[in-house]
Amino acid sequence: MPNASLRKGIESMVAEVLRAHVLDAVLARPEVRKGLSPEAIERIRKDMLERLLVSEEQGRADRGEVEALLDGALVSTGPAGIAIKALIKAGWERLATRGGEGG
Amino acid sequence: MSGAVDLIRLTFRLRDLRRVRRIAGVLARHGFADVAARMGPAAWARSVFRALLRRPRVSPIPVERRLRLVLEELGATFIKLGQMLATRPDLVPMALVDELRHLQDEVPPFPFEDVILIVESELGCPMGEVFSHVEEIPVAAASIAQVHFATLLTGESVVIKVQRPNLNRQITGDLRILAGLASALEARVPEVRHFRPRAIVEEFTKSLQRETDFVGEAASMDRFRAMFADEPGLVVPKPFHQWTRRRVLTMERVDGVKVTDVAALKALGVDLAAIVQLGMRITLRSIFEHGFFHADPHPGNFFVRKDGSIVLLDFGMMGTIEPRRVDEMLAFMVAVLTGDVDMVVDQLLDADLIGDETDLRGLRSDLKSILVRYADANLGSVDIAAFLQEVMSVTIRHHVVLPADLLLVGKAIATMEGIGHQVYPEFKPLEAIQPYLTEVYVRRLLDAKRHSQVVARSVMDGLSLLKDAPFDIRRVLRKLRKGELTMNLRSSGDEARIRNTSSVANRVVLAGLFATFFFGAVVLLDQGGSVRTFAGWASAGLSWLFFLGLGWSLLHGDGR
Repeated sequence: MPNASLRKGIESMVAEVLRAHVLDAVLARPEVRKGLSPEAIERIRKDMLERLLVSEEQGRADRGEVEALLDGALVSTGPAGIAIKALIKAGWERLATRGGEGG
Repeated sequence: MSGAVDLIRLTFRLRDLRRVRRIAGVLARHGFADVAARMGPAAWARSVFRALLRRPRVSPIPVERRLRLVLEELGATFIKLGQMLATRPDLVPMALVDELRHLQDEVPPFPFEDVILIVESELGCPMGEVFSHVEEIPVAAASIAQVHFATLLTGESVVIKVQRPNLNRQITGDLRILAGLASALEARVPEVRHFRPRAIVEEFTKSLQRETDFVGEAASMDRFRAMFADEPGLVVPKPFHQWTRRRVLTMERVDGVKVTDVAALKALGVDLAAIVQLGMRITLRSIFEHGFFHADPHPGNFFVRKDGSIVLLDFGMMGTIEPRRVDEMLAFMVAVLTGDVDMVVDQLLDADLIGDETDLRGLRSDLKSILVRYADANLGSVDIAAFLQEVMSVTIRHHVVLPADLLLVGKAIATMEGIGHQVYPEFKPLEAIQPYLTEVYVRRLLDAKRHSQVVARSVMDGLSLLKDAPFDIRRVLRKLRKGELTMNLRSSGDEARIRNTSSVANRVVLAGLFATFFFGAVVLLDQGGSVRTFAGWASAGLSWLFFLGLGWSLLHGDGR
């Protein structure tokens, strides 16, 4: 099982993706708009945004741990690992850039 | 192998004969002469069959009610079985489900002398060393246990729940009979195989074993109380673990008024609407936030105190749902309640509940007709129990076998709705349920902690896979190079078909051998000469043996 620091790092990264790319999409789903009043949706949006930001900030310092683990493990497996690492890095940077614009 | 099976059957029959006869007698008295007839020649069932045929009777009482009376008369195991079947409209007809909901779990109390014996043998000391006083007349008596008020030597008022004498032996015997019955049904009645009677009995066995273990019940009480530490309106009695054993449960005494005693509630001056809302909130939270809920929430387990708090009793039958299943259920309920037919069908497909035999177009169309009708209705006027029942009936009609936990959840919500209507007729359950479920659904979708746990697990699994991959690939390639790579393939077809094909092949070979030796014998005998005559008769003998083998295979083989 991953250690606490690793868990916090992963949680921070997940929270960022959820805040930047998932939150509004979920709240715009038809079943959510049918099941909740606009006021309730807004209340939940504010509350979730706050929670996600807290998770994001609390684990920001631990993200290095996640990156170090992935780097070490992927590089040690040879060319395939290095290629996967490059792919993950490019994907994450793309997500984070769009997240920064959106958030 | 067959001998061993016969031996097991014989042991089973001798050990349970008396009880089987009693069951047969009760069935016969209630006019079920035809029940065992379909069980075929299973050795133990023959005695049931004979007993039934002795007194065939046609009763004017509907079959469902007679079946309920049979279960009540047969005692704890069968009452509990009936209660479980009452939550499974996917397994038994709706008319029977409705009737089984009226099962009475009230039986005459057992003598106080037995209470003393059981408590002392379980606690390992005289009752006077633990209790300063125990009331001889029980407060309640049911098929599993009875309850007495008492006072501890330390002065605390408590309630002692004492299991009925010899219950374990009786239940074990009954479960053995039920398991035999389920096996016989599965083997001999093809149309019930789909309902997997053996699996149902196994599930029921586990549930009953949990319910008769009071140490487990005390642990459930602790867990439930901890879950609702933030809900001051809920009271769960505190168990006294030092005075609790498998057959004796000692817990804090909490007084209150039965939730359906509306006159007494009004006399207390409590807010009826608030009580109903609190009850529904606790039910929904326990299911969708904690995945651990009261699976037997009948009105007899709900009491109300003067301050408006709810006292919940009897934690013997609890439902547990895995977090992933909670997500699936939430999505399913949200889809149903918001009338999204495509999402309902997608959820059923995702949960792997729809088989090949389901006509998806028909299912969509039938669901749509219900959901549209309810979507047009006013939220307040919707009867949730009836609504969920209709949805379930449609899915069942289309061969969707719903999971037991979903049905238990449906039962818990429907029961709470029923209590709500009894206590506060203006209660509009859907107005409370729909926004609550949608909000929990959204919050779970956006829960970073939960998702990160899944991601962390996947990362660790992926890294482990990646780490081992080069070695594994190299090993496979090495074997391939050496020509040592072997593959074990198993046909996804049923075993019976494979056996049948093998049996047919054997018969073809036997027939071929028979024909070869028979015609060989005819030719040899026709040519004459002592050597040829001897060989001819030998060939004829062999052909006769192959003929016998072929006959035996045709009469006793799998493909007959």
